[in-house]
Amino acid sequence: LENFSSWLERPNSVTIDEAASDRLTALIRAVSTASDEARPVSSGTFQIGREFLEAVPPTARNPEVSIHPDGDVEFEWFLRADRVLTISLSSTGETHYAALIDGRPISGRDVFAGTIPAGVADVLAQVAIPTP
Amino acid sequence: LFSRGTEFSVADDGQARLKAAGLIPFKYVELSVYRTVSLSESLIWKMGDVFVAALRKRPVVARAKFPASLITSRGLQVRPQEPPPRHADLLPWPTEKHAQLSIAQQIIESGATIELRPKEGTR
Repeated sequence: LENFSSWLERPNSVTIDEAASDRLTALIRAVSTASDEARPVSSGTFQIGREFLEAVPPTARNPEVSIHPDGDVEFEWFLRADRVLTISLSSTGETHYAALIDGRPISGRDVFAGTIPAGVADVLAQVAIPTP
Repeated sequence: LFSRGTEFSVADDGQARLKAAGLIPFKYVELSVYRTVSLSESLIWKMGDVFVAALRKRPVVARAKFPASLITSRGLQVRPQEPPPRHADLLPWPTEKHAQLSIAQQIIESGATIELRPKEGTR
């Protein structure tokens, strides 16, 4: 009981677990509510999407998750119209990302293979990680 | 004119936000739009019912709004493609999805907005 009380007094550890859970829930919800006009999300795309979310630092804001008509998973971090990051992930791990950093456009293509590619990580840090 | 709902998001406070994915071409190499200058709101939604909803077999629930100048300033052209009346294609888009998303983000940042369809009886 004493350990449990001390665990309750550490809200940060709870927040991290909640973030991971919330992200996975958002992915499942997006897949299950995808338009029937969209190409179905493959199990490979779902798994890649899940691994990507797990690789996102727990301190990052949670993204909006949606499904593109081509069956790719989209993660989007939106702060303002001029500060936004959109990532499209396919079953092969092909990652298309586009961002505006204070209005400056950055975009590129990379491959996610368990680790967030450097180019993506750089813009992710600028858009998704809250500044102290 | 949107019928899916994935092209935009709606916050808890009911505020809708146009997403970049709503402005890029899927399936085709061009993005389908309608020129709505001088049309009433009710006629625009009616066009959506007749020309979009009937084709997709699902109701039009929202529309993105932006002047043609936002498109042309990003290197795209508005090419009339009738019928249906007032229909046009936006092109040419880059082939890479990230480049398409980037253009869409810049169009949104420049002022493109989303309008949810008013519920029946509120118009």
